[in-house]
Parts: sequence; C-alpha cells; structure tokens
Amino acid sequence: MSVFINGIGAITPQGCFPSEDFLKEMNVFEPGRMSVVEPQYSDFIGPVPLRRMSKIIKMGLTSALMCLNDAQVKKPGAIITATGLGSVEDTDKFLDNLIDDQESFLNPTPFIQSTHNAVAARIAIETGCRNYNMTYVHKNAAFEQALLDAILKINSGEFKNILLGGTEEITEDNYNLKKHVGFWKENVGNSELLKHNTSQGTIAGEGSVFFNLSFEKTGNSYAEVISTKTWYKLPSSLKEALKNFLVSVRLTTEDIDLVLLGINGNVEEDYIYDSAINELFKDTSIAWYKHLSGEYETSASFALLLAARLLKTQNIPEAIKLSNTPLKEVKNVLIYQQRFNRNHSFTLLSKC
Amino acid sequence: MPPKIYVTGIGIISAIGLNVAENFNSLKTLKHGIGKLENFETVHSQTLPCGEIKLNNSQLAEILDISISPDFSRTALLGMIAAREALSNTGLTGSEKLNMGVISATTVGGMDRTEMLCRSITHENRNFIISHVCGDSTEKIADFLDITGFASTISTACSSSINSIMSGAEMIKNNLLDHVIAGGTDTLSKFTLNGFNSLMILDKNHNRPFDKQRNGLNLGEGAAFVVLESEDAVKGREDKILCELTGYANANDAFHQTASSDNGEGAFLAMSNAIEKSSLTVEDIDFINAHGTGTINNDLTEAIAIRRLFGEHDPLFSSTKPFTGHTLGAAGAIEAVFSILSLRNNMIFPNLNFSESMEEMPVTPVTKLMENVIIRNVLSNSFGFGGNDSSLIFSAV
Repeated sequence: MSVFINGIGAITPQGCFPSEDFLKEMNVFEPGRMSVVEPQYSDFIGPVPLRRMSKIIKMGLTSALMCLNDAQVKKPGAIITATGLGSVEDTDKFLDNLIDDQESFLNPTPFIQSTHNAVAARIAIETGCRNYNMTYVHKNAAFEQALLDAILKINSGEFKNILLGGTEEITEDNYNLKKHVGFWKENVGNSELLKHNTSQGTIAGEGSVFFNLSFEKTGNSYAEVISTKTWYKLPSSLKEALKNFLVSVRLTTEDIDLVLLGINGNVEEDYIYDSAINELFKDTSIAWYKHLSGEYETSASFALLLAARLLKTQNIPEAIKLSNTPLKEVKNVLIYQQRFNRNHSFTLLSKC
Repeated sequence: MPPKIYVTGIGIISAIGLNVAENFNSLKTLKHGIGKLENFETVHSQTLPCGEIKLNNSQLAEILDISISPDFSRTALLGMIAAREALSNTGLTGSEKLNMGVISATTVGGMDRTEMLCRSITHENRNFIISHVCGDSTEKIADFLDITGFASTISTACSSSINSIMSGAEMIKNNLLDHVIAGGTDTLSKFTLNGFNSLMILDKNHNRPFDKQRNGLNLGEGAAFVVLESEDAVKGREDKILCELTGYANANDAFHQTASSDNGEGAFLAMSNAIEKSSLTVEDIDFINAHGTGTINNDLTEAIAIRRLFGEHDPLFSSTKPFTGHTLGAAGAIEAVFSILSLRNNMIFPNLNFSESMEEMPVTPVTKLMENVIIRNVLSNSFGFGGNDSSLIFSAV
C-alpha cells in the first residue's frame, strides 16, 4: 500500500507549521541553544492541564493537535512517537529535588511526566485514541524507526491513519551538561555553522513535528513516503548501502532530485556526508537542515517536514540549499542522516 | 496463514538468579528475591524492600569478562548478561552475515550513573552524560554481541519490553530481519525508587498481588531477552525451537497518566486483540502470567479486565512480581521468559503472599506450585504508565 503524508503540525526553532510564512526567512540565533518559537498553547490546551505540563508535553500535544487539524482527522487510528531524550525538564527537576532534599517530600508530578511515552500517552487521552500507542527512543534513529513502524502498520491495513511524531526538548541545564563532552560549538550561531565546520561540536536544537499518515490520498496530501531504513553500523561502504537502498525501492541515483543531508558542522561527523556526495550525488541538488532545527535526536522529523513540504509546493527554501539547484520538478527526495558514524538512516519521499 | 515466529533462545538475570537455570530453580522452590537494598546508598534502604541482584557492577562485569569504567551503567551490564545467554541457546552468533537485530527496552537507561555522578563531573567519568540515554545500553549489547545491522530501543514505561518483543515480531513478519534479540533491561536507581515512593504505591512489606490486603509494589531490577526467528531462519535448527509467539497486541487505556480506567479497558483490549491475532479463543488460554504489581489500582482493574474477557470461569493466573519485584522496563521480557518456562515445563509458578480475595472482584490466583499441567497457550500481560497496555501469547509447538 502507498503511505501518504496528509497532515503536518510542527513547533520548531523556525516557527510553527502549517504557516504561510514558514521559512520565508530563516530565524537566526545567537550562539547557544536554538529554542522553538512557541505557539499560544492555550489555543489548544485547557488552562488547568496546561499549568502542569512541561515543555515537551505542551509542544508534543500541541503539534499533534495542529497536525490532526491540518489533516482534518479528529481521532487518530494509532499513535507512534519518537524521542531520544524524553522529558528532560521533568527528569532533571525530579532528580535535582531528590538530591537537594535528601530523598524526602518529593512532588510526584515531574516523575509521572518523566516517562518517555508521556507525550504519546497525553495525545491518547486528549484524542480518546485507545489503539496502538508506541514510543521509540533509539538515539538519532528513533524517529525513522517510528516511521518504519507506521509504514508497516499502514501496510497491514490495521489502521486507516497514524499519527507519528518526533519530539525533543533541550533545557539550559542539559545544554550545559553536554558541554562537558564537547557536543557544542559554544560561540557559533546557526547562520555561521558551516563556516566553522573544521572544529568539533555542533549547535543544539529542539522541536516537535507530527505527521498524519494514511493509505488514502487526500486534497491536502504533501508527499508519499516510499521507504525508510536504519543501519546501526553500515555493513560495508556507505556507497553500497545507499545503492542497495535505492535498488530496494527500484530507483537509481539519477532518479533522486534532491538529497537532504544531516550535516551539522561537526568536523568529526560531516566527512561521512562528503563521501556520499562525491561518490554518488556529485551532480544532484544537495540541501541541509540542521542549521534550521539545531541538532537533536529526532531532528529527522524536521527533515521529513522540509522534504514533504517542498515536494508539495516545489518551493525549495533558500536557507536549505547547499549546491546544484534542481532545474526540473522535484519528484524524489532522499534524506540521509547519521551521528558519529552510527545510526545511519535513509528515507525516501516522492511527489504524490 | 501469517508467517510463524519462533522463540529459539531465552536469557535472564533477576533477583532470583543470574541465568535461566537459576531463575527456574528459584521459581520451583518458591525462593523469592525481595529484601533490603545493598548496592547503592539511599535513605530508603531499610524501609523499602526491593528485588535487587546481589552483585555489584564489578562482579557483573566479571561475569561478562570485561573491564568497565565507573561511568558504565548497570542497565547495560544486566542487558548484556541476559542477551548473551539468550543468543547462546540458539547456536547463532552475532555475525555481520546474519540479518540480525537487537531491540531492547528500558525506562531508566543510564540514570544509575547520572544520579551518582551529575554533581561531581570529572574528565574521567563524564561519559555518563552520553550513556544516560536509553539507546546507549542497547548499543552496548549490540557491540558486545557483534550485532551491526539493526539496533532499536523502546520506552513505554512498565510495558516497554513486551513492546520490544512485539516490535521484533513485526520486523520478522515483514521480512525485515531474520533473527531478533528482543527484551529489556532496567536497573534499580534512586530516581525510580523515589519516584514510585512519591506516588505512594510502594509496599513497605513483601508485595501481595491480587490480595485484599495488598498495599503496593516492590521495585526490582533485571534484564531478559528472547531470540525470535522466522520460519525460514530456523530451518535445519528446528531442535532449538522453544515455542511460538502466536499473538501480541498493544492498546491504550486513554484514561489517566498513571491510573487505569475503572473497567480496565486498555488491558481488556490488549488481551482480546492478542487472542484475536493468534486465531485462538479465550478457551484456548490455559494460563495468564498477570501484570499483578500489587497496587490497589492495577490488580483490581486487571482482574476486572480478565473477568470481562474470560467470563466467570477465570483461567489459571498468577503474578510473579513477589519473586522478582516490579522490574519496570524489563518486566515484560522477564515474565515472557517465565511464561515460556511454564509452557515448556507444564508448570505454573504461584502468586506468593495471596491469602484473601479482593472484595470488589473476588478472583483467586494460583497460590501453590502446579506441576504436570498441560499448558498449550500462555498469555502474558504488561501494563504501564500512560495507559500503555500490552499482551503476548506464547504457544507450544
């Protein structure tokens, strides 16, 4: 069966989607972490629950509701979410309290909300969806593995539509903690990221992007998801793995009109993309996205948003172009991302 | 006919044993593992009994014959021990030539190290920051067993590892993998101990699922994995088949972040959908390994859901939580292994500490070890926060 993206809802450092103005101009950030531009949550969530929710739950639930609204679906068939880190704010809050207060008089709310499936559960309660509810958490492959599950579930015919999303929050404390392991370029803003690609580290981000997938094409369909595959470690060469992936979807490198890469400015990682470009996609249009979303575990959901939207509108945002602007219609987009040469993922989308 | 999914290996470490044989022996001899905490310092060590594995991290590392740094998470160590055992049964090795994957589950990830080291970060211990995330323990398992192709992690609170087994089955059913090591691992930590304590659902005494006087759960730790294989993959190695995974389903209660609905709707859907998927009927289910945590809320709603589905003739059921404690993200896989031991040995391990039925729903679990019971199909339940409810069915081959 075909799998169509029929709705998108997103809260990102580049603003919310759907929105006419999304990425007309790139939001430029000072050095540090890239935070999402938050919507008016009270437009979506009642005042009482809203007060108790941490940022990740607010973001996740609101973007999910935006997505259902965009797809004109009231109740999703099933809910599949992805998050690498889960509820950072609530986890840290509970941990700090238990250390500071010597394990006594602890408020349970942050603990309750600290589970990785808190967003998926909240959406189920809010939409009354009692069906399949799953949460994938495998680092930067979490979103693609959730997408794979969604594709399989659509293909099985078990559900008419699936709500799929990737959500991550970053807090100041978590940002500071990761300085110890050299995760960030602390003095580089997002617009300067590529200029500093000879040094270690990248730029931190966050976001929540939800998709409504179905085997039925609608007037609002963005694109068709053809396939996704993750490799924990590549079997042989990247070139072989990519070629085999394209063979599995009956395409060749010439069929790919645009390649969206997870380049993040980190000298320890970006060389891997160079080999893909040089060996397979020398003349293909190359784009990137992590300077718009920041680096975070489920940022592949942001890439999927970009790919789906550009396949629908045929409008490639200036900010993502890296080389070789396509001269003709964009029919097939390949998304490729990895981190530290692990958890490589290939995702193919087509115009529908 | 849908493709068959076979179980060819099991591995486990819990408070009642370091491997399958030790766990089986403890279950048969009614030796539980609940007691005072010894491995880490907490103000609750004398008051909140837990199912702790009485080996420290260095001793666990010795079992694995590896050397570890102080930032190496216990979650990963437990997972590596159980996953290695599961694979060792099968006659397979994790080789690049095999289309093999590992799908693990955890709720705490590397929290045991984070809570210990986060206020005293040094250059030597800073890697706990990287190994904090759930996926890290999965990758350590994959690296240890030389599995390169597919590594995935699921975290849905207390139903996590039943869901990773389900995910593994789907990967095989869709011809994406031939062999999957699926399960979960969770260590005890101050974080979870205080979390459940703040919810006031920890029993200060030994937990007693489904009993009128039940007063909460005891936490535990451990890991368990099963090896799932496709029909084609086991050709020529049929002697390794332990049982078949015939049914599985996940549903959501969509009621409350921690409490389950009055009529146990999510649990009812998980069990009934799993039975439907297996093409069995409720009469075919010979035994239920219940989630049965010992909390007021869970046991009542689970009993209600069982009664709704099975009618007045409750099937034989019991909870093994009094043996191991509630091992959270590992519970589904640990109890999957126990279910397979029941099935393979025609034995039902009793629900310890039960004496009196709940007034609201008077059901009676198995309270004595039962031997020579014909068990063809076992249903195993795991329910979690966020209304995440799952059931598996293992069937004799």
